[in-house]
Amino acid sequence: VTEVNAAVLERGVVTLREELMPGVWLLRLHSPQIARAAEPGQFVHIQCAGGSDPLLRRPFSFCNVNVDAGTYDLLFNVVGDGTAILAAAEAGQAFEALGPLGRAFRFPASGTLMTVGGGLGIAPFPFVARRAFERGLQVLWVNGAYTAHQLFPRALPDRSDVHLCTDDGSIGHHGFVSDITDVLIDGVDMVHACGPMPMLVALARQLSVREAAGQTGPPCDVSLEAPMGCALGTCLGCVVPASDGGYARVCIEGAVMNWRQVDWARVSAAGELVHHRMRVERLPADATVGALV
Amino acid sequence: MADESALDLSVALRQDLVLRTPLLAASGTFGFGFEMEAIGGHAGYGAIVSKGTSRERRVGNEPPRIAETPAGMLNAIGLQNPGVGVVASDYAPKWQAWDLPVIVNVVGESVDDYLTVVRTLEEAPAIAGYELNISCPNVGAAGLMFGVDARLANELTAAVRRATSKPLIVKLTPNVTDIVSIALAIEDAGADALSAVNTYVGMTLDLETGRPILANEVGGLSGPAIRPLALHAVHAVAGAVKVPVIASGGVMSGDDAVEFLLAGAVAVQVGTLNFLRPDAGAVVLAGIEAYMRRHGVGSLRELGAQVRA
Repeated sequence: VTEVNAAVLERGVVTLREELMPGVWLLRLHSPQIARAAEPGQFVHIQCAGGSDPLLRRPFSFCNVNVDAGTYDLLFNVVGDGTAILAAAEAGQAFEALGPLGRAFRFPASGTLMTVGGGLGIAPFPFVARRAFERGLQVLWVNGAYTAHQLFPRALPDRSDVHLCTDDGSIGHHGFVSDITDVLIDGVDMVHACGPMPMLVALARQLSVREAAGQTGPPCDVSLEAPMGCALGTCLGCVVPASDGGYARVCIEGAVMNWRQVDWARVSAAGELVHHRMRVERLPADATVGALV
Repeated sequence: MADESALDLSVALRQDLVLRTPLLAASGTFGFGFEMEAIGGHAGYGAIVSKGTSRERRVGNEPPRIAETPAGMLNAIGLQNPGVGVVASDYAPKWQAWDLPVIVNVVGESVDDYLTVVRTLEEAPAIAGYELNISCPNVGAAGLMFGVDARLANELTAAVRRATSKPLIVKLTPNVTDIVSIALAIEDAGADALSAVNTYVGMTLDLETGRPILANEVGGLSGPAIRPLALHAVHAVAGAVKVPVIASGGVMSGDDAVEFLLAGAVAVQVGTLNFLRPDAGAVVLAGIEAYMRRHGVGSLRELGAQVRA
């Protein structure tokens, strides 16, 4: 028996659809009830098709929320039938959304929050950063991608300390997000992370190593992704290995979980599949985008 | 013109188990009812069938556990559940506060497993009946599923029948050559009702790796993709047995439910639709009511009489 969020069904009307870079879209939906209730790290479950194909809803974390305007933004790349429908949506078109769902990020009482986004794992952090500033926190913004044009340009918040990296070295540090976090993690008061599983595994390892050495690492919340069915806790489809030996539901126990709740060893064991998924998410090498900053 | 007079939507699965609506939340799509209660999802239902409950806790299969397919989905959850002890001591007392009957779906790998689960639940409050999931491999019969063998299905049903006087439903698997002969064998063993059908075995591959998407490789197909197949099975079984048949297979609307009622089902399970919307029961029930008003049918008994006429 677990607590469930007070989600509602509400039609979200498209007010903006923009291709930020090839294959990556920002969709703004007018959906005031959900926008008002949304917390950073929570998600909506969107019905993309009018009929039975594709059958299941698609989960997206809130990329940004404008309570006054009654809108929220979704950031996604086209990976299948559902996202293709959303990417082709016209202004005024409506999608039924269920939300807000899942657990939100915790915030530290004061000090510095490090947000760690890998690839489109950057999605929840514009909303996180805004709420962090409202709380008077400093934001240490870490963002990595395969190559420069895949970094999400509009996500860079004003008052943050920005650290970028790319796998191909085209901008920022030539290497992984985890290279940066390993250096900076000891100086922050909390970590929020979202991105590919190998990135989260690396981050968890850094925290574990510190603990083993008798140091106290900062609290760390990770936002997880999994193929999702119901998002209501009943289908048990979206699970990740949990540290209690069983499985935790991403939709209910997540999508944001304390890093300690996840059994990272079992997550790593499933790594081959994860790496395949990462390849699929990479954009074409000839993709271009405007100025980054 | 709309007829606003009250419709009689009640159905009897047994004399002492009358549901206020013909809709049951299908096992595995509604948990143990708590998550859906919190979001108002009980509306429209006449009963809930719980997640499959086993003798011991089962952690379930490795992910990926679900995969979307055309107008359907495959699942291989692996019967994740906390075990009958938790269900009997923690969940059942909470069900007492509900005006919605809860039927517990029972899984096992031996006759003894099923009997242990049922006997434990006999001591618990608020259990309206049992639905046996016989699509599990029988470890004693070299992995042969109870549900694919008329003799095994008969023996299992008879054994559970002796252990309880509560309503006993057996859920048929469609993955057999002759579902009617198995239905008759189960009816002969004393089942009060049959539900038809469980999921169809299927698989789907990842074209990049050439490997199955599901970690379990194969899974059970559900959703509208299977509805015509399920309708065929329901029609065949309902025409052969005397006990009530509870249809199950890809119901997405009231019209879909009516189609199963017209094919001879007494009640209908709603499954995958619960994954698509938290108001699935209410949506399907409203559609059934609309159909009845459109056709001047005042009760489901009347609708059933039309079928047989």
